[in-house]
Amino acid sequence: MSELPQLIVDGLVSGAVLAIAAVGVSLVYGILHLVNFAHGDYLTFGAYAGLGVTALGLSMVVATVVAVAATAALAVGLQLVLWGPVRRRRAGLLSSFITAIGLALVLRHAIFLVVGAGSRAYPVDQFSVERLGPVRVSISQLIAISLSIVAIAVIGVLLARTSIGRSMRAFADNPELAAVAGVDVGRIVLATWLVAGALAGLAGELQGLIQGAFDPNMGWNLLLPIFAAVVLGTIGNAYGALLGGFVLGLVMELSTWSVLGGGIPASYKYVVAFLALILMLLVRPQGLLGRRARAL
Amino acid sequence: MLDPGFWSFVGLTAGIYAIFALGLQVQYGLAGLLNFGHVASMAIAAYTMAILVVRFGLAEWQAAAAGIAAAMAAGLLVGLTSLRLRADYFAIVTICFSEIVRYVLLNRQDLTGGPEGTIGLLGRGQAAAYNTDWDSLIARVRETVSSVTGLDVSRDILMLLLIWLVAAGLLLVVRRASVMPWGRVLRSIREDEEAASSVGKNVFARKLQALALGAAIAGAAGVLYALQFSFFTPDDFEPLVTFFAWVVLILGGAARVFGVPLGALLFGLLFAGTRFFDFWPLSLLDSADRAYLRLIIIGLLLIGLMYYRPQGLLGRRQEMLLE
Amino acid sequence: MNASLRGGTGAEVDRTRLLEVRDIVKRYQGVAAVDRATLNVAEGSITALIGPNGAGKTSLFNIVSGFARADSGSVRYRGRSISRLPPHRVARAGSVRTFQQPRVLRRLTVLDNLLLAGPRQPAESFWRALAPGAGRRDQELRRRALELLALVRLDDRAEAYAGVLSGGQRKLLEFAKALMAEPLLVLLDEPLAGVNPTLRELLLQRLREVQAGGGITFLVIEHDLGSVLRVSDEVAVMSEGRVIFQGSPEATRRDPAVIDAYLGSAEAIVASGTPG
Ligand SMILES: Nc1ncnc2c1ncn2[C@@H]1O[C@H](COP(=O)(O)OP(=O)(O)OP(=O)(O)O)[C@@H](O)[C@H]1O
Ligand SMILES: [Mg+2]
Repeated sequence: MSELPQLIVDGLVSGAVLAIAAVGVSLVYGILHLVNFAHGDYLTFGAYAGLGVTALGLSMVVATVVAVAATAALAVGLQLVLWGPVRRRRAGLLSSFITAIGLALVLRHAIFLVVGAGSRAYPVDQFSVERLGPVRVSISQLIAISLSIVAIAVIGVLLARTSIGRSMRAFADNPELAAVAGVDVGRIVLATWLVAGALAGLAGELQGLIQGAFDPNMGWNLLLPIFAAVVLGTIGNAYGALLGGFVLGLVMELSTWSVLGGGIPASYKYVVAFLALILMLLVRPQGLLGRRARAL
Repeated sequence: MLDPGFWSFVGLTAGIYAIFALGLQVQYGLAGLLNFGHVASMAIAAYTMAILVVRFGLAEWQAAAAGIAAAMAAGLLVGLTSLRLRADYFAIVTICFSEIVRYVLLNRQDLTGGPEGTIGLLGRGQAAAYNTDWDSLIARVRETVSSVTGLDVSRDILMLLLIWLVAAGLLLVVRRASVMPWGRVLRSIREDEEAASSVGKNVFARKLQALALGAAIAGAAGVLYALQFSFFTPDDFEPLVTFFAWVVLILGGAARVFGVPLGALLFGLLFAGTRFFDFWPLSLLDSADRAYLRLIIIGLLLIGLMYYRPQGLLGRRQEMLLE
Repeated sequence: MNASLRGGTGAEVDRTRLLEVRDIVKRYQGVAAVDRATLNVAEGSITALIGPNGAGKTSLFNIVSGFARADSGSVRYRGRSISRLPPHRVARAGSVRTFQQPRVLRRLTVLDNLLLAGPRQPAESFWRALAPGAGRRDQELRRRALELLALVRLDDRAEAYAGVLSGGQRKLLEFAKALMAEPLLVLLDEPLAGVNPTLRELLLQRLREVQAGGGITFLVIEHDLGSVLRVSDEVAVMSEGRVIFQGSPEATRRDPAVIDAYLGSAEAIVASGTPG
C-alpha cells in the first residue's frame, strides 16, 4: 500500500536532479541561444570531480563544494576558449549544434581516458535506509533531497532578487531591449555559464549519488531527459525548466505504478519520458507555462 | 596503413555512411529538416529484415524490401505527427523517437533478441542468423568469378563494390532530382516556407515526402549494414551514429549532393584511420584508451571544422553568409 | 477543385466581383485587427486599398490569401468560398499575393526565384523529375522569366543569389514573381515602397499594361496616394479594421469620412490630385 507514496518520493528525487540540470540548460538556451549537447558531460565532470575529493578521504560536503566549483570553472573556461570565439564568428544554429556535439565527444572520452570505463560509487552506505512513515528513503536520497531544496531556493533567490539574476531573465526575454537598457552582455554571459556550470556540477553529483554506481556515460545518458524537461517547461524559461524536471521525474516513476495495468517495466522509464515530451509538444507546443506564440 | 584490410574497412564504412548521409542530405540539405533521429530509420530497416527472416521465414530480399518500407512508414509517422513543430522542437522529437526505438529494441527481448543483438533472435542458447541466403549468394558469386577469371575476390571486395554501386546509383538519382524543379521546390521550402506556399507549393506534403524518401534511403543503408556485418545489437544504433551522418554531411558541405561521398570518404578515413593509431607513442596506450583518444580527436576535428569552415569542404562560404 | 476554381466560369459567377470579402473579423489577443471589413474587387480592375498604418490592410491580405484564418466572415473568389483553403491552394487557384516585407528566397538565384513560381511544372514531382526531358518545361518558363526580369530591370542580376539584392530590388522581384505565376488576381502589398521614383513610374505603367493586356486583376495596398489614385479604377479605404469607403478615385478625394480618417488636411488631397 505504500507503493504510491514511495513512487512519488522517488519521482521527486529524480525530478529534482533533472530540474536542477534543466535550469542551467534553459538559461544557456535563453541567453546564448545555444543548445548545449555537451551539458550532460558537464554533469559527468562534476560527478567525477566530487568522486576525486572523496577518494582523498574528504567528506561529501567538501566533495559537493568542489564538484560545484570545478564544473562552474569548466563552464566559464569553455565560454572563454570555445563559445566566445564561436559566437564572434556568428555561427548558425546547425554549426553550433555540431560544435556542441564535438565538445560532448571530447569531454566524455577525456573523462573515460582519465578514469577508465568501470563503474564507481561515492562512499555512502547504499543500503542504509530511513523509514519516514510509509516511505523508505536511502541516505543518498536524503542527501539529494536536502541539497536540491537548498539549490532550488538559491536559484529562486538568485533569479528573482539579485540584479544579475533579473538582468539574466530580462535578457532571455528580450535581448535587444535589455541591451538598450544598458545590460552588460559579456557579464551576463559569464554569469549564465557560472550558474549553469555550478548547477550541472551539483546535478551530476546528485545523480551519481541516487544512481549508486555510475560511469562516464552517466551525463550523456541523462542529456535527453534533461532536454525533455527544458522543453516541457517552455524552452528558455528557467522556472518552467524546474517545473518540467519535477513533472518528468514524477511521470517516469509513476509509470511503473502497478495500479496502472500492472505498471510499465522500469526499463521503459526513458521511453515514457520521451513519449510524454512528444505528446506534450503535439498538444501544447508552447510548453507548460508558455503562451501561444505570435503567428507569422 | 597500407594493409588492404584497412582500406576495405575505410571503403565499407564510407560507403554505408555515404548512403546513410544521403538520406539526411535529402531531408536537411534540400528540405531543411533538422532530423536528429536519422539512425532510427537504419535500425528499423535492419531489425525488420532480421526479424522477418529469422522468425517469419521470409526470403532475405523480401525481408530487405519490407525493412526499407518499414523505415519509410516510420518516417511518415514521425512526419505526420511532428512536421508542424518548430525546427528545434522537431529536432528534439526526432532524437527522442530514435531513442524510443533503441530502448524498445533493447527491452523487447522476446522479439528482438535484446541487448545481445540479432544472435539472440531465437532466444537464449540458439544462435540465430539472418544472413544465410546472402552469404550463400556471395559464395556462389565468388565461385563464378574465380572459375571465369581465375581471380579470388574476397567477400569484402564484393560488398565494397555492391555498396558503392548502390551509393552511386542513389546519388545520381538524388542529384538528378535535385537539379530539377523537384529540388528547387524543396530548396525554396528550406529558405522560406511561406514564400513557397505563396506561389502554390504544398509545403507540408513536400516535407513529408522528403522525410520519407530520406528514411527509405537510410533504410537501404541499414539493410546493407546488416548484410555486411552479419550481426548487430541495438547499441549499434545509438544517437552518435546520427551525429556521424551530420558530420559526413557537413564535411562535404550540406548543400552539395556530391559533397556526400567526399564527406563519407573523409569520415571513413577519420573513423577507421584513427582505429589504426597503433604506432609509437600511441602504442603505449591500451586499445580501449586508443578508442577514447580516437573519439576525442573526432570531436576536436568537428569543433575545428565548424570554426574554420562551417560551410564544409565543398560548400560555398557565400551561401552561408546569406542565411 | 483547383481546376474548377481556375477554369469554370459558370453563368452564376458575377463578372464584376472576382473577389468578395464579407464582414471579415480577425482579432489578435482580443484586439480586432480587421473588424467586419467588406470589399469587392471587380474583374479586370486595379483596386487600391489605402488607409493609415495599422488599419488592418496586411491582415486582410493574410486572410484573403489563406495565411491567416478569419474569426468570422467570408471570402469568395470567382464565386466560391475560399475562406478555408490553405495558402498554396489559394495561389494555385490563381490568386497570388506579395509580401510587405519581401520574402525572396535568398539562397536561390534571382532566375530560380521566378522559375519556382511558374505554373504547371510536371518535374516538380519526384518521379517525373527523373524522366528524360524533365527539363523541357524550364526552357519555356525561362523565356518568360527573363522577360519579366527585363520588365523590372533585373535581367542583369538573373544569376545572382536573391540574397544579395537590395531592398528595392527585392520588391521588384516579388512583383515579377507574382506575375510569373500567371495569376488572375494579384494582391500587391506596398509594391512601390522603397522603389526609386523613375522605376515607380515604370512599374505603374507596366501595371496598367499588364492589366489591360493580360486580363489580370490587381488589388494594391499603397501609401503613395498620388500614384495610386492615378492608376486605380476603384479605391477602398480602411481605417481601424473596417473598410470605410469604396468608390472611384474622384469620389475618394471628396468623401468626408475618408478625409477625416486618412487624408487629413485639404493640402494632402490637393497634392495627391496633381500628378508630379
Ligand atoms: N500576427 C499578429 N499578431 C498580433 N497582432 C497583429 C498581427 N498581425 C497584425 N497585428 C496587428 O493588427 C493591426 C493591423 O496590422 P496590419 O499589419 O494589418 O496593418 P496595415 O494596415 O498593413 O499597416 P501598414 O500600413 O503599416 O502596413 C496592427 O495593430 C498590428 O499590430
Ligand atoms: Mg501592411
